[in-house]
Order: sequence, then C-alpha cells, then structure tokens
Amino acid sequence: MVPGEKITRAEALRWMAGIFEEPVENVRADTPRDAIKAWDSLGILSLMAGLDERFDVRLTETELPGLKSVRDVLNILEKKGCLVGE
Amino acid sequence: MLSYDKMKVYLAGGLGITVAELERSCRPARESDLGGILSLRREVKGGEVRDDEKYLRWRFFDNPRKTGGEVPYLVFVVKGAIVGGLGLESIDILEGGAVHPAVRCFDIMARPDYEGRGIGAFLNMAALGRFATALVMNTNRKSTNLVGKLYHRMEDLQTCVLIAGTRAIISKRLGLGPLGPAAAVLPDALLGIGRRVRRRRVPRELAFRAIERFGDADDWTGPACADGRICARRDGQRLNWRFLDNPRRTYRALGVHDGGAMIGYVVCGLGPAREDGAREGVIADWMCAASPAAGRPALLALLFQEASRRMIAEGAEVVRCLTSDRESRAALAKNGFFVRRREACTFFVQSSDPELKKILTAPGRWFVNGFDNDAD
Repeated sequence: MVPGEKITRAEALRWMAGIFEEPVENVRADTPRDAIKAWDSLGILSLMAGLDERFDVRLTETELPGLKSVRDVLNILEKKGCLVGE
Repeated sequence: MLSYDKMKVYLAGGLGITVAELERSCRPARESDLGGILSLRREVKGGEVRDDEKYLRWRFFDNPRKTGGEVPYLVFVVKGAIVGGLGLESIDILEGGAVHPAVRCFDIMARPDYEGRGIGAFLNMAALGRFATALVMNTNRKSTNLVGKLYHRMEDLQTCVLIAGTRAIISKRLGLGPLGPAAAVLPDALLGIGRRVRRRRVPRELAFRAIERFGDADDWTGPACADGRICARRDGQRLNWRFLDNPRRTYRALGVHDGGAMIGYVVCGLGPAREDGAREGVIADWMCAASPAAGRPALLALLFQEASRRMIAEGAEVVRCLTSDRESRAALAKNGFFVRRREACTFFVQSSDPELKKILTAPGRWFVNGFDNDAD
C-alpha cells in the first residue's frame, strides 16, 4: 500500500468490502450503511484507519455524520482526488 | 483488528479532540453524573423511561456492591456532556474451586448525534482494558457483530417457554376479540389436564417456603459448581439486591427445605401484561443441591413445577425461563416447557489472561440464566 494512492471506483468498492469483511457483490455505491453488518462503531474506526493508511485521508468531525452509504465514502475519495477513471 | 491505540487516534479525530482529551473523556461515573446519564438514556430511548431514576439508583448509584465509592458505570464525556455510557456489574466467577473477579458489561449507548463515530467500540475496549475478565450477554442485532469481534462468543442461552393459557393469544392474535375467552375454554382445559398429568408428587420430606430475604452470608454457588460448572457467585447479599430489591420487577423467592435445611431456591416474577394482554411469568434463577429425599435433577423439576404453579395461579398465561445448561432444560421439559429458538440469547466471554480465557471459553461448562441478564 502506498499512502495517497489512486484507485478506480471498482477497486474502491473491493477495498471497502475488504474493510467490512463483506462479499464484494454486497458492496455497491448505493448500499446503505445499515446494510453492512460490520459498519458499526468498530467498523467506522477501521474505515477511518484504512482511509488514512491507504489514501492519506483523515476524516474530520464534520465529515463523519454524513457517511450514510458506500456512495458517501466514494464521494470523499473523489473529493480528495483518490479516484481515477471508471 | 484495530489496536486500542489506533482506535484512540481515529476516534479522537472524528470527535475533533486530542488523544489526551479522549483518554480523559472516558471515566467511571460520579454521583453528580446521575442527571447526565438520565438525559443520555432519554435521548437514546427516545423519551421518558418509566422509573429510570429509580432503576439507575438501584443498579449503579446506590448499589451496595460498588467498590471504593466508584459508580459501576463508565461515562464518555465530550464538551461537558455525557454522550456515551456503559453499565458494569462486578462479579466473582467461580470455577473449579477458584474465584476470578470479573465484570459484566451491558446497556452500552451513544447519544444519537454521536452514533457511528466509534464510541461503542471504544467503551467496550476501555472496559476490557480496566478489567481482566468481562462477560456480555443479550446483545441486540446491532451490537452482536461488534461484541463478537472483541469477545469470545459462547453457545447461546435458550429461552424455554410454557404456555399455560390461551385467552390473550386467541383474543388478540387470532383477532377473536370478546369471543376469545369462550374460545379459550377448551384449549385452556386441555393445557390444565396436561399440567396435572405431568405433575410430580413432592416427597414428604420436602417443603416449599417463601423466602422473605436471603441471609447475607449464605452462598449458594458452592454446591452448584462442585461438578465443574462455571458460574457467577450467588450470595445472599447479591440475591437480595438483584431480585428482592429490584425496582423493575417484583420477584419472589421460594426455598425448598429438606427437614430443617434449605437445600435450594428458585426466583420467579410475574410481569405486567404484554401487548397481547397475556401476563407473563419469568423463572429467573435457581440453585439446588441434591438431598436424601431427591437428586438434583428431580429437585430442579420440582422447583420449576412449584414456581410455574404459583405464577399460573396468579394469572400467568406464559412462563419463560432463560437457560444455558442441559440439566435445567431437561427439568423444564418435564414440566411442559419447550425451547423457543428464535428467542435465543447471546453470551460472550473475554479475559486478558490466556490460561483463564481457555478455561472460561471451554464449551458446556457455564451455568448462566436470568440472574446474569440485566434485562428484567
């Protein structure tokens, strides 16, 4: 892993599936947070650690409450310039 | 899994505070925190909870077991407000003649506007950091996954249920309304015949008597754990506090005597009517040692028979009982109880001592029941 690396949306979905230990097919852009069992209070900290370690992205106090679906995480990655292509 | 130190970094970041501030945020509750905890509970539960202050005082603030004046409740404070909390109960685990201090963790909560930031995981880790051995039971759908990652999941407890009457079921669930009582006459008569057929004769040497208070110095755990079972200590002081002083449910204790000596007890309670109107009885706890008049399995069956009989006489249409062990389930089955699988109850154990963890997580040794559950 290279901090600050760029990945495609498909790779981002696979990466999130790994963080939450979900089958890849269960993690789509429109998947809500509640549909992912491991996206609980430990899951959010794991996601934050993953974003920091892999993409050098540190979620802030104001960004956290907005994370309600996989798409919200993808939007953050996009905003921080971590997504490339399709 | 994420280490505790890393967890602190990200939780602090998500809350907009430093790690040093975060470490100060989590502390045992003080007497002055009662109001803050009540507000937290109101926000989490979405309104006023009946007798909540009475409950908090009984369970945490006026608990005779609180050690060193420390309230057995962890609070998580951000910007002066209590935004998270975790209930604790210190217990002694008895196992093979050894006593292991431990803590039960329950009632974890985070204020809705702080949900999803990691406070629940952090409070769990904080408890595991403070106490060498911890137990959790009866997790909900949301917390089972989290607790399962931090603790070792044991075999679920089973809920055994006895249907003693059908009036409420027929009236409400089948939508028969006022015709329900008439329609219930026949099934209720059949259920009554079933109970009479199953009824065991109580040996002449045995007598059941109500227990007003348990003797503070009595300890009922020794005989029950002599055969290698693991369980939390039940001394008189704990039993009085847990059941007879409980503000949430009126429990009654019944002792079984052989000659002059009390050789066992059962604690049961009748709850308020359910949504369908049925009154529900609960058999919460029991312990007994074999006596010359009856072996333990026979005594257990008699204890359950007597407890159910009294609750049914007082109007219970359903009697339920949470069990972890086969011996109790067999004794309940002899009284017409059946296992309701969809009401299984989770149970988790964790210990920082690897040797002890190995012992405590061995399958089939725990004796756990409603005594260990914080829900009344």
